[in-house]
Amino acid sequence: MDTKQKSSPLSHWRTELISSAIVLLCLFLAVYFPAQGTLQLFSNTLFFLFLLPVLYIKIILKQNLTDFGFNTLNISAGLLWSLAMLASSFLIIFFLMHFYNFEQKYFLPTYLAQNFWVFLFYELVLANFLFFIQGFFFRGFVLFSFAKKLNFFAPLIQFLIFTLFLAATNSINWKAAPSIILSLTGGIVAYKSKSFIYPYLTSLLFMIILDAYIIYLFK
Amino acid sequence: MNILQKSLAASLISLIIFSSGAPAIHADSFSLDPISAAVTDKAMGDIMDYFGINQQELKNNIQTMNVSRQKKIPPQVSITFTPASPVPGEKITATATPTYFMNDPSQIYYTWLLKRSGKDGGAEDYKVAAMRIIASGDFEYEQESYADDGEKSAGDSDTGDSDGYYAFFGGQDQKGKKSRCFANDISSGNDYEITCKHAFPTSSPGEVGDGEFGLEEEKFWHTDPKSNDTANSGTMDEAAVVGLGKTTFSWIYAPGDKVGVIVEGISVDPTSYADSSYKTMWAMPKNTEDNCNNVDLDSLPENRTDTPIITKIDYTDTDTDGYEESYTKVTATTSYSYATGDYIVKTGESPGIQILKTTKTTVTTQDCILPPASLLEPSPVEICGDATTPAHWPISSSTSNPRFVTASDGSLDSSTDFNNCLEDNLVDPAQGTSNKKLDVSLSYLPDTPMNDPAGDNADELVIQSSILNAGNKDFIYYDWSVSLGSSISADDWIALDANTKKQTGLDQTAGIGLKSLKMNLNFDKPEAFYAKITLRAKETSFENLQKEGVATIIVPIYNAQNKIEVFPTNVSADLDITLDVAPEAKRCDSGIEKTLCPIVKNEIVGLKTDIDPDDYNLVWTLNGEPLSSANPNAATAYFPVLQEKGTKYTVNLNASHKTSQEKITLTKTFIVADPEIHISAVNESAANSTCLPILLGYYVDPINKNPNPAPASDDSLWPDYSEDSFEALQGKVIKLKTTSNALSPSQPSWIIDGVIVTTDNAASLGATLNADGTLSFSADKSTGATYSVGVETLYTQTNLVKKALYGKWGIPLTDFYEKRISKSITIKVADQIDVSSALAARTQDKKILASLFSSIPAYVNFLFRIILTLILILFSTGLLFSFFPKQNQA
Repeated sequence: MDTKQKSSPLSHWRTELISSAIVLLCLFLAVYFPAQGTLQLFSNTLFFLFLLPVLYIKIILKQNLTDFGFNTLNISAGLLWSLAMLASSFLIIFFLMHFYNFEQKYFLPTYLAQNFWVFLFYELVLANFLFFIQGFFFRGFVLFSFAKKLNFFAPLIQFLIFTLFLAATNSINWKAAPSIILSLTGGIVAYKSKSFIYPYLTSLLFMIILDAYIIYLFK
Repeated sequence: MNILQKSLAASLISLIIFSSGAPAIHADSFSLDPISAAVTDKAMGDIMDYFGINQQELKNNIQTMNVSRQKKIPPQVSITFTPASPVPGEKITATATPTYFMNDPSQIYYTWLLKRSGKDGGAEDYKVAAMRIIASGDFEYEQESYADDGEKSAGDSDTGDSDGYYAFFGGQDQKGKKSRCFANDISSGNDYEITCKHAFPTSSPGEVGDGEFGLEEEKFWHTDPKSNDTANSGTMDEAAVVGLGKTTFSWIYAPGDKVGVIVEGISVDPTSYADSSYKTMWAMPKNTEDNCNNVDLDSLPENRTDTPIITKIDYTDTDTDGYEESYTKVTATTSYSYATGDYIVKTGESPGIQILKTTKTTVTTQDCILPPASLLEPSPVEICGDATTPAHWPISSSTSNPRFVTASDGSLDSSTDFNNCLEDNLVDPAQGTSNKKLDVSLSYLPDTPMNDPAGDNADELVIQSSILNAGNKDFIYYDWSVSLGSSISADDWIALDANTKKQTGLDQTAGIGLKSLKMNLNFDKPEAFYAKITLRAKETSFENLQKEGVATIIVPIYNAQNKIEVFPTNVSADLDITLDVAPEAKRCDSGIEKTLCPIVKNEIVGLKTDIDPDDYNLVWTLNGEPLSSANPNAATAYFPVLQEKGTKYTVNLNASHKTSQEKITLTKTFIVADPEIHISAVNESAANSTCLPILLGYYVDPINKNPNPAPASDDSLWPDYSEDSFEALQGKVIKLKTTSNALSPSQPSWIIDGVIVTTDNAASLGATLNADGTLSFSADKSTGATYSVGVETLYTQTNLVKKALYGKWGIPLTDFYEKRISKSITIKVADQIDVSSALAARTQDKKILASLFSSIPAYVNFLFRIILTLILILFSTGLLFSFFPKQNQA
């Protein structure tokens, strides 16, 4: 005799629901946890967008980080899709420049244009840190939390969450346009390559090229 | 010519002939007959009386004159040292000061001696040790080869540097004069002529002071053969060795060193010789103590070169003892002759001719020679007698007449005598000095220290020590002791006990480097008293030399139970300034304001003291200058605040009792601050108060003790009340007042929960604006609710104050200002507010955590919070997972 235990939707979606709660909590605390000064702000970001998800995955979900994109297993897929999405991102930027004069609205700090070593430090250290954290949280933790159940919708979900997060923090502006573009294209790369490392590196490369081009345009 | 004339001429001639053989007439053999003598004496007396000459005084003066020569002080020398207390291992300089020498000190010869500690030798060694240092200076003789360069041989008098020097007896300035050397007999005062011989060192290869200073001498004296002035002292090397003008001698002192000097020069007395000579004499530091210049008459050599004269007298006893003795008396007569220095100027002869009187002592030895083969009774000794009871043989002595004699007796050697007594003439630089004693002196500040048991006007008494002759002041061991007494000459000085020491800040009174002592004068004594401070200082210096010093100082301590009180001032229409001395108007009488009273620019601050001007003379000063606005000797004063925010004013009141020596000094310090306004509850310290500030905690004041300590027993804890947060009893009437550090003409406006309270709406707000400016309202809100109460006002000076400032101090009208000041508090409604003890207990428990958190750096604090948050989230997540059952897969 077959016995089937009916599982409630809640139990079925237990992990996703709780992970969603964790995602929202992490985003909320990253913005509103009391912090004074740059160091504490950085620490806020690190703890709530990286450390907490890592601990949640390891301790609560008892899973491996590789299951959440922290791997470089599918190199060929990663490279292929990275290139494709890089080209797509540049195409979008081209359209933005052509139709919306994006280059006039995308403001870079002056000191980046004045000193190459400052530009390098900004891109390879500051922007790098930010892209890594963003990449891990959104293209890693968020995407792969929903990928199992939502499949292809997971990249869209993470893109939506990212955009809503920017909107909630009044950060939707032309300066955030590259990040929004990368969130979408990067999500696709991550889904296809099962890794957030490739979109992270793609984002970094994209930003360096874009910022250098913008500086070139105005020099 | 008749027969009579011929007879007279013959008689006269005969008289002349026979009188030539007559012995010389002595004044003492000439005598007048008694009658003539009396007449002459009377005549002499009458003459003296006529001229008013007191004969007895004249006799006295002549007697004094007769012996004045023997009263003259011979040449002397004294040595002083710099430093007075020698420090082992450091340079010390001995300075010789010759006196009663005729020459200039630079012309005199100084032969120094240095006896090193632990090195015994003879006078010669001491001389060489000292004169080497003088002659060689800092020359590094060890590196000099003293090799003969071939052009000059060893012993050659000329090394090419021409540094020889010939020494003249009596000093450099006696060149060309005959040398006459004398020594003084301290006992008789006579100067004896002696053989001239310098006191220079004699162990040198060549003779010192002979004008030749060859290579061997250069080597012996450690001088530079290539330089004629090795020590760069302005004297030639050999002149330095003889000590020409060397009044000072420096060396590195070691405990036990002794130094001496022999000074050769000429006395202030000339000689009696018919030439330009003066007496060459020597002096040593302890001349007067050890008379080594004295010629000991008792030690005169008995052996003479004179051949004794033997006389024999045959004697035949003719007494009636029945014995017939016939003896031969043999007398051997020897004569001593020596110069005594006595002289007589012979009348009629030209001055300068010396006639020395000699005393010849004849010593007679007698041999009693018995007849051969005769043995008589009694014994021969008895028969011959002895020297003291010459039974038979007279002892003869004679004194010769004054005659010319030659000076000096070759058997009397002056330099030999000097060397014999040199050891006794060495001086220890440390003897009689204070090298083992530290010179300690004490001073104190302030000049009139004030004691105040309450501590408000208590001065800090600072005793400063000064030790002049210490090696390293940082390593001196200081031992301070303090005792109190009722008078300077009190016998009942009471030392401070441990508790009193702690109370007055005397935590440490003994140790190294405690150069000063600081003491808070808050003794519990109602009257003036004295403090006796004694310092014992010890230092162990070079070669374990212990030095100690003690000093005591007695400080009068005055009592300052009086105070300076601060009051606002009122300016009348006539611009007279008076104090508003109402008790409630008093300012700065509690808390931190008592120490530093905040005042506001352009206000006039009033001062009042409780010292009675009838008993005391008072003088007010502001920042050290007399307070010009005070009436002379008044108990009140005022001053305008004209400086900017942050400036401090110090007001001093000096009072001196009119009939006693009591003095009082009071000080009040002010600081210019912004005008502020504060809200406080009326009667908040009363037991039935309806509104109290919240107790935040306690702060520690080690100086001012809490008379009502809580927690109990720790009187250094003072409660710290909030100025912004209050609690009020629910349903009770709260009465609030304002306090300000500045008087303002405008009344403050009260605000309750954002609504300005006016006379029109006060009732509707349940509040009352009282005539004295206070606010009353009922705490009708529920327990836990809060009222926000604020007050604001416009601070400015009154017109009269402005007029007074302008008229009296020339402050322009543009300098006056207005400032809006406000304050707000929160009052929480509670069921009970008398929770100070509970709060205190909780505070005690929380205190550790609170102090822990307050001291941890902010970032660590942040990390701690964020980690706690992470843990909480993870824990909650895990809990959630456990609530949701795990999905079972078929």
